[in-house]
Amino acid sequence: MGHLTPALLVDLAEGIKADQSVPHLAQCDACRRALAELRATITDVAGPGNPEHGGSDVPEPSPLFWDHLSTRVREAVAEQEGAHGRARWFEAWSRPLVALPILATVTATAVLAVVTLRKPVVPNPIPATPLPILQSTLLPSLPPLEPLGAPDDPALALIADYGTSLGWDELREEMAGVSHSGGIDEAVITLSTEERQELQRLLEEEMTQPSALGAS
Amino acid sequence: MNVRWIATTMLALMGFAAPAWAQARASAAPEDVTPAELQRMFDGYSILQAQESLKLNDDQYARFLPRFKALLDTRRQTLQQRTRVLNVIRRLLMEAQPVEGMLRDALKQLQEIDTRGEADAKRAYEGIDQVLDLRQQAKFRIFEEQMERRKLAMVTEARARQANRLNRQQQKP
Repeated sequence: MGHLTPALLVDLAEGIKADQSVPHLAQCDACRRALAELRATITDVAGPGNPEHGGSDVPEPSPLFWDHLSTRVREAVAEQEGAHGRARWFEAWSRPLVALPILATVTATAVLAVVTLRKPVVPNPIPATPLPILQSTLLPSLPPLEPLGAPDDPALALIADYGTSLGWDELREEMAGVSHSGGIDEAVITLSTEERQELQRLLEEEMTQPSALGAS
Repeated sequence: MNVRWIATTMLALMGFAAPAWAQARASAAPEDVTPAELQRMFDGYSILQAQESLKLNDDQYARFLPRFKALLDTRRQTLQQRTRVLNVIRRLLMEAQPVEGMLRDALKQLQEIDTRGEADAKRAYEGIDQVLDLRQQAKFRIFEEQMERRKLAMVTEARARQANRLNRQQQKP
């Protein structure tokens, strides 16, 4: 069995454990000496001055002390970890099992690059006609067309009107007049005398009023 | 010089229905109006609307008016000629054995009318474009489309009003 551990020594010195419970103490002078020194130290530190705080006369440090101590410890730990990290990185990469495959890969890539670059470059043939995709992308995007059959489309109202009052043959004849530019003139011809008078009244009303179309 | 005054004068000189004329007749009892009169009124209406829509200045308006009138006349003339030839073709087809030579001549005539009509309209547009700046040229194309819709709406409204009047008369005891 080896010597007593520091934790066991402290337990023995403070009386948490009895000396008889540790047989090694009776056989080992070194451990007995260490326990005696520890007990002496504890007795010195405790002393008779302040029995409430273990008899110590040492005053409490300034509150700032603990902040400074904490900061210094943190810095020291970080610095130590950084040094260890750099050392570990270098050690890892410098291992032959890692370094050799990397070196081999780099060499192979370099050789491949040289071989490829020395090969004569054959340009892709340009097609005689431009590709359709290019033509379509060059076209400007057109605004969306006005939807057919908008609710306020007067053409629909006219068709509805014709549809309810005329037969198929009459409807076809009437609509033939408005299916092209200038068709309004032909539509006017098909109006009855009373309808023409009505249209005249409408036109007169329109012409005495401000623009119905507005400035576009 | 006032643009309205120019318009009224020029419309009167050209035989259009001017606003003054329209106002004078508004209170009078409506008389029988011929399709030709209505077409002239439509032209006058279009010209008045164009001034506001295109924001033409006095100088532009004075030059624009006869050119726009030329475009409207060209269109109407082409349409009348086309309708006449189409009626001839319709009559020919109603015969049991239409004469092929006459049909061929009518079709050729129709083709010539279309070609000439397109060329005349193109010339008329070029004349108008010379008076307008680029933005106004673009607006003019939109304006024409809007005018066609507006006229169509008026024709529809006239038919609807007359139909309502007839309905009311029939419902009366």
